[in-house]
Amino acid sequence: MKKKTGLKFAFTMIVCGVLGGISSLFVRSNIKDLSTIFNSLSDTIIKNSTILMLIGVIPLIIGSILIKKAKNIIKANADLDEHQFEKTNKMLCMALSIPSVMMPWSFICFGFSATYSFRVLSVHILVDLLLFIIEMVWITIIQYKTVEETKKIFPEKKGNVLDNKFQKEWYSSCDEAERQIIGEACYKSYKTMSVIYPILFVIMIIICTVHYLSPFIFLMVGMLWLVQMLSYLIPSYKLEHGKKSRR
Amino acid sequence: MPLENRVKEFRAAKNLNQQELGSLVGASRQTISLIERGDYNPSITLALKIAKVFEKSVEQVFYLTEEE
Repeated sequence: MKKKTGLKFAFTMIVCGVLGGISSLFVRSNIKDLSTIFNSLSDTIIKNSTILMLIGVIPLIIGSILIKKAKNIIKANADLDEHQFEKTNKMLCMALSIPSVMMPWSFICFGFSATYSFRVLSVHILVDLLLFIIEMVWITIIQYKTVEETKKIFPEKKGNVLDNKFQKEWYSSCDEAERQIIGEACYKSYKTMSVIYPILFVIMIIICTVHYLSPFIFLMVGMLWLVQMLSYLIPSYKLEHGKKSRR
Repeated sequence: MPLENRVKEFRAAKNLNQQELGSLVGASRQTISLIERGDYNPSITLALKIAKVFEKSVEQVFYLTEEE
């Protein structure tokens, strides 16, 4: 069994090495073309940051519609039956997922805009700033309303989105099944990011051969990787070997 | 061996809805729904609490079945 696993690992390493070699050869032989592609791609993204920010409004509209629908179901039925409960719960879960995704999206788009304004001073940044503020307020409203509606179908839930202690209070009001779901989802996230970071570094190193990348980008991505690892390892160690037993 | 349960049956016999049973055992309605569907295996503490509400033994409420 161990021999088979070792052979599989060695085969994967060889395949990765061959693919890496081919990629490097390809990059080196098309260095000018790739550099042009990266430059034009960067310019296109940066100049269209406003459009990208406007695209972000669509999921926010969907989120608002979902909350409205869930609110109507809760309002019309004092005691939700099992089907209505599942339907409403799913709607609210989806509505709460939208702000979580749209917040990084808005930051990325505004970051593009900030890069552009650094190069060319224009009203472009002001329009994007206005859109960014609108999106942030909208995201907060969706989060607030979703949590308030969720509390109606889960009366035991505690916490206010606008309070700094919201996450702590919300988690403490979760029961064992909900905590298990959170734990499993967090572990999947950890596993995904543990794969993403090395891939991202390989891509960045390849890009470096044709396009200037600031060392700060490596530092930032590396720091994020380190923070992720430490924020997993330290609590794991404390829970396993700490003085306070887990109950 | 999968864990099966008769929570839904005993809950109906006690004339309780999921929310009420959840409140009695300190769990959410969603958790009761997950247990009834067999999507979540409760901890020993929660299983004991549920059995206590139904005035049954844990084995009467939760039982293992042979895999096909």
